Amino acid sequence: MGGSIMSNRRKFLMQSVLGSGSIALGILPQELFASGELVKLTVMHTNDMHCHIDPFPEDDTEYPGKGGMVRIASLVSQCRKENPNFMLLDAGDMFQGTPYFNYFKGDLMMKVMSKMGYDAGTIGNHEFDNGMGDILSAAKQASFPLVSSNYDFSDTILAEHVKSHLILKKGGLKIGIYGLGIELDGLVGKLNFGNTRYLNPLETALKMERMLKKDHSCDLVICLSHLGYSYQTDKISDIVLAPQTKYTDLFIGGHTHTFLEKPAILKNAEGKPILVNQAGWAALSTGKIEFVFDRSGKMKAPIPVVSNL
Amino acid sequence: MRHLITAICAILLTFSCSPHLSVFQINTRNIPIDIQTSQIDSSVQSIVTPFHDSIEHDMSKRITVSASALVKGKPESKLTNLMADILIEFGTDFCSKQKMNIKPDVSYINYGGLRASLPQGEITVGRIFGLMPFENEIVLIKISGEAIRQMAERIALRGGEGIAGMKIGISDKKLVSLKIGGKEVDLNATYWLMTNDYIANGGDQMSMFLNPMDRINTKMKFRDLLIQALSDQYKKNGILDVKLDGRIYNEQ
Repeated sequence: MGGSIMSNRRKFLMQSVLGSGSIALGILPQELFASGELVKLTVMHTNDMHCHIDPFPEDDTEYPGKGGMVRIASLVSQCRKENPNFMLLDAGDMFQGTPYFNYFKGDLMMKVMSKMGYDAGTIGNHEFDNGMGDILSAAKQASFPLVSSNYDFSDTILAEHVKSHLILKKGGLKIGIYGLGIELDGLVGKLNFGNTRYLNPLETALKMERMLKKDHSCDLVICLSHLGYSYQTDKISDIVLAPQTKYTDLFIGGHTHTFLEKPAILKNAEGKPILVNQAGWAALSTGKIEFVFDRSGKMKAPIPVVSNL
Repeated sequence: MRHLITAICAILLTFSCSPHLSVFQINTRNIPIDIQTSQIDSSVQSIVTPFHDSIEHDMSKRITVSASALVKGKPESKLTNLMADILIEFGTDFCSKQKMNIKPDVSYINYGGLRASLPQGEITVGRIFGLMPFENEIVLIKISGEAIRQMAERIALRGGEGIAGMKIGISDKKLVSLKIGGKEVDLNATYWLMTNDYIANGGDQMSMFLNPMDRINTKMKFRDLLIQALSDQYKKNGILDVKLDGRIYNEQ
């Protein structure tokens, strides 16, 4: 598995979807990056880590010795060294799952995630497990912002502490980020989410992506979603929502603990590709996505080509 | 003059290129995290180690020994049955110690709330944290036979969960038989149900538990109870040997 990925490394073209196969681009000339005509942004992402800071024990029945934020951290620091334009994002459910949470609440998680240099995270349903006081404490401790666009916290203690959207700048690129959370009613005790208002995720997404792309001219728009990858029912999910968007480039998902071999490539409302990814749970997987931008305007590629690293 | 040039340059820039860049290539890889793909980062580990060491003594404490692995499954399983049995036994004991003139009839534990299996052999405190990470407290609620029937229907739809004090027959995800304490359920009677506060507050789609006729908060955390009950049982009875008893069954 690992071997075949390596031998196929950079081998063009795993998914020649959407009729883009005519653009023959495999290894891009390094001169174009050096001259600044091309610029690369590397995004790494996690979700549903559930305080799995350590790898699973060696005698675990399902995941012996696997996973662990301490392992992801080494990949992150290596990747950051190799890629100056680097972002690390999380799609929620950082909390709850190992004794670290029972003993230290979100404190150790925030220390570890801050050390790893996360750029942003969103709020999953398990973030509410100890009530909003612990989310506030996490938001204050974290060296990175929490973003949620469809939880309206304005009548809660989190009002000033969670962003509705973010614009990050990396190597001259503007990256817009918004966050979508799952409906709390029936999933989280009412006392734990208090006066949080749940806004329609689709309406919120359309509003956020338009604002980030059109008003703020972001080069890339990313949604951190804790809605879940897909459901058998008609419940809103990433797979249902992503095709209805226009300006979002990537959905980084969570909640359903879905392991994907590679990101799903869907068509958005304008027929352009949108990526939907999720990296399992318990720090057992991490997603790595490189976006190459053309600054010169010479590369006539109306639809981006997607390949496997 | 300088201002004018700046202004002209700004206008030229604005019109000479599109407001944002376009992506023209995307490369992706989802990386499994294991010893082959990644080393342990020493700088992060050094933050974690003092926290790890401070709880290791608590976590490694042995509380019982199981004759078999306890894995959750449907319609019933050793793990779900054991959890529900511990819950109802605690309730009976709690009510008698509090000199309450009531006795729990049934218990319910949500399948999704059990987050890990228990191994054959030694079971440590750490394993119980893995199984039950949540800080949920145990509550008693007084509800109608009708509400119990609705709960049983939902359990049938899900193919089974953790119950004690009742017997449920399922056919094609539908409830076909419901007995409480060996008798047919009386929809107009009232029953006492033991569960956790997450469920009693209507979590996991169990809205039939909202607005009970009465509610008693025991202030006991389910995890603390599991640790206490399993170690008491081990001291009293030795090796834990859970058997299935057909409390939830699929009708042919």
